[in-house]
Amino acid sequence: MTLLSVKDLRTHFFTDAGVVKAVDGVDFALERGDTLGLVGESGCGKSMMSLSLMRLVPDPPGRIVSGSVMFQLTQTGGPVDLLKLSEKQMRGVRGKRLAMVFQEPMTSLNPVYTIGDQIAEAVALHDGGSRASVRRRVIEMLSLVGIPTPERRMKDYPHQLSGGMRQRAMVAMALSCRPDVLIADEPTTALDVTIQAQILDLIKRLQHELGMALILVTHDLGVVAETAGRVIVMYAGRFVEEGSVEQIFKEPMHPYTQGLLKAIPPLARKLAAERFFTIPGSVPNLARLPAGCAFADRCPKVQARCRQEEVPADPCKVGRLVRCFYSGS
Amino acid sequence: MREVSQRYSALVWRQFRKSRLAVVCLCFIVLLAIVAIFAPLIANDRPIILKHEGKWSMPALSLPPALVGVDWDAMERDPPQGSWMVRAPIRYRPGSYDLAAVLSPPSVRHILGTDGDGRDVAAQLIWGSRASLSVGIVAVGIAVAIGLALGLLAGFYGGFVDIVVSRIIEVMICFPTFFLILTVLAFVGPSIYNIMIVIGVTGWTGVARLVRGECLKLRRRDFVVAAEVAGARDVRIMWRHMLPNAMAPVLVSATFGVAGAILVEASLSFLGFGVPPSDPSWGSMLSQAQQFMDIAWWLTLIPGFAIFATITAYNLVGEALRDAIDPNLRT
Amino acid sequence: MSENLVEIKDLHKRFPIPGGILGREKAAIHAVRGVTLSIGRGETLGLVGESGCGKSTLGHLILRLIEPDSGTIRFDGRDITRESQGRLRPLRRKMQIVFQDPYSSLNPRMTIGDIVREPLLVHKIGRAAERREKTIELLRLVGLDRDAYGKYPHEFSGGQRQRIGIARAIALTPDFIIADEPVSALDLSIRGEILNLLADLRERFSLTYLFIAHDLKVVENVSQRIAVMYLGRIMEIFPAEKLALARHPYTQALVSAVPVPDPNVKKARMILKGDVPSQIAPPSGCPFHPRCPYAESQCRDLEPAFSEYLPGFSASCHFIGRMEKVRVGLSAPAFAGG
Repeated sequence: MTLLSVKDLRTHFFTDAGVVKAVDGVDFALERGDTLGLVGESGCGKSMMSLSLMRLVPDPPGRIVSGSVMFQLTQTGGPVDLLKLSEKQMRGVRGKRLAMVFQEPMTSLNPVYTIGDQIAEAVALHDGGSRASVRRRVIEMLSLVGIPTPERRMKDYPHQLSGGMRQRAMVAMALSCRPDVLIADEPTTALDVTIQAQILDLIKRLQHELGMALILVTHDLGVVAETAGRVIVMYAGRFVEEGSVEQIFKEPMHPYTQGLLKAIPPLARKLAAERFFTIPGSVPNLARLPAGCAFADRCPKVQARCRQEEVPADPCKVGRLVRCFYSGS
Repeated sequence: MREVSQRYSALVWRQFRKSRLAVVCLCFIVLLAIVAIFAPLIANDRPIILKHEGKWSMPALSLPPALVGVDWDAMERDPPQGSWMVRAPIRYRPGSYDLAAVLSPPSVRHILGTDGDGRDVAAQLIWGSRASLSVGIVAVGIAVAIGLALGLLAGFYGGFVDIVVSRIIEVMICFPTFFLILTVLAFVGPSIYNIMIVIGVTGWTGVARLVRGECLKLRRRDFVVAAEVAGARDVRIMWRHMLPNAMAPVLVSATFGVAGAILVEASLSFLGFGVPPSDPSWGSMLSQAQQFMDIAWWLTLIPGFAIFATITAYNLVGEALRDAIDPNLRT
Repeated sequence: MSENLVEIKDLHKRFPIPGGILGREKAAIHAVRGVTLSIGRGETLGLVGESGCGKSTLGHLILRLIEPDSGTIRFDGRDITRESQGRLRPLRRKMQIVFQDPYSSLNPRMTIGDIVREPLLVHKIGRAAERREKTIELLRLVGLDRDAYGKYPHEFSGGQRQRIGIARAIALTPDFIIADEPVSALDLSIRGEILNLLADLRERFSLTYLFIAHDLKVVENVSQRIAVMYLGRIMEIFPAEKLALARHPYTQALVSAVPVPDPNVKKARMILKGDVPSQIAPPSGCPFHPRCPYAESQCRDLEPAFSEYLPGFSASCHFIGRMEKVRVGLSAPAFAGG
């Protein structure tokens, strides 16, 4: 059953320097239990995408200007457009049905409350219950995420915990109400690589146990390869390619995806004389996007047509989408 | 597209300009400065330019000995042969006593009225601005110089130097500044120069703490380490790398400091410990106005309003500057 | 002229944490606890480790920005362990640094021209006009236009700023550069630019690098040897191309933790339990023993000696001999070329 269906989502920022089209027409669908990897580099709009789904876009200067986010709110009823809900209704969805884990646990946890209090707040807000039942749930969540001696740790403040522990606490907070969808926005980027492995492992395991759908937003292609089932590649606010993780890594069709994969340093040591691959140029200014394809200036396959016409999404196969006139390996 | 300057000061100015109120206040401050600088040419019974007996002179600035005691109004009404004068907009100076018009309310003759001795209020106000502004700016200049030096040293060297400087700052803060100023002035005598120096020497602690805080943060920044690795000497690092990056909050503090210093000077003069009563000052104007409060409203209201407007203008400019500097508020 | 440009013996550094009114020592951060290594002339030594391992402190020690508590540092044959900053100044022309964060490594109030020519100014090289010319040449060398000279850092992208930092580092034509995570803060698609630039400069100026990073994939491809650091000590040093043969359990855990960008590779993962312990109270004996899956009581009681177990491979582990049989995560095809 399709849990979440996003169509033509556009989030624009209205600044003095012009209109920044942070998210400019993104579509995807998420089934229960899916893991979707959202890949892109800085400025591609992936973080703003996740904030848009949660309707947490800072307004002003940002605004979701068009599109729909259809979510299966109830078991029996039809899907509901989250963008059309009132703020009060949305608050009932956020945290309870749709949850988010952020990149920097130090700044997303409130430093003046214990982690137990913060998790309890989420539980009490959505599920209510007596103090005792809330406390039980907090302890349950903390042990679920692998924090030892949860009864004691719940009285700790964020600064008393290590980076890995804080991120686990964040995960506990996000999952405390058993949401249907978890959005993890670069959850391991700020962590050491051995801790990163732990956290990814944790998220995957919990996703399985709780039957959640997971949207993993990251710039690390390795993380995507290990975790995701489907992948969407974003560039300059638009998605440029979509497919299963095998398709994306084995047969990338968009020149940007191909470039990204070539830029990963090989694991087996390359010949000494070989140079690192790089995509020339840099991401265009999102306030002044050129006409046509946003990747044109950096693309090895660029033709005149690319700079003149808007490139439509081309569904070349089932579940496969490329936004390019000259795609193909 | 025309190249816009990317210098930090240009960026801050462009952001500052977005607040109309701030720009208005800034204009007011500039106007005040002009008035203070050109006071002798704005409010003076002597003419600005005079051609008399074939000789040119500027009596407002320096009076030729031959022209001492001349009744300029009479000369204007009945100019002698071959003479020509340009007079100041306000035909009085603080020292001119118009005994015919004692305690007269604002009129055509005396735009802002006169006080108990017949002195023109407008002239006093204009000349009084010199005391207020010069004290404000010089005192803050001294305070910033001391505060910057100590803050830079403490922030750069840390350790023992920081401990010593911090204790000095803490001791200074313990003194109630206003009473300290009064005490010192009791010893050295209340001249305007002493006032400037004393306010400056007692008011540097805020700047020092700010600068120390900024420098402690800057000390570990990569570009400072880069300068060390390049072999730059301590002084160069402090002057070229830390100072420009710590200045922003200092400028804001200085703006508020000028407002504060003006208030201190006015308070001192009001209490009689400020500039000698013969020198015009907004504070002493207020002090002398006390006895006439019931009958001469203009004597209290006008200098009071001048102080209020000036301090408010500086405060608003300081706030706008603080907002303009904050990168998070940049639009 | 000695063969090794940099030689470090048994270096120790701790940072006291002040407490109490008089600032007496309450506890200490033991950043570097007995590091011995050397870097050959023209070599690129990769230094990997996670947060809290002391690699940045080690870099600062080599550059003599701070003074070690004990141990020796030799640069180009000269003992610089206790030299004063004044006597070190001329030596600063030979050793430079490239930083990780392109957004804090350039003084936001200075123009690019000012930033890059500062080292020349500090050492009074040439006259003003000559310095300007040299600066423009340096900018060209790192791939920037001459009109970058009058611009400010905020007008440039992360990759460009990193180039500016590199231009500044080579201004004095040093012999030795510490590259402290030079590409970690950059997008994947432009890391190659900077790495290629560093490689080109190495060829051109015969540079020696200490390449500090946490991304093994990058380090493996740029270094001749790799040193793995954990909690202030070196765990292992080995030739970069033979990464697959490195045996130390921590090295293996690092390798195993690196996500492989190939969905078909199913690695057996060695997921370490626990967190990176704090530098304030490091564990006794082998610092890795609380998290090591193969630790025994000896590991807690006795600090293992750092010794060679294969030609070119040295490690600090009591049971390094046994480790060959338990190599994890290295059986995937991607590593077979090792």
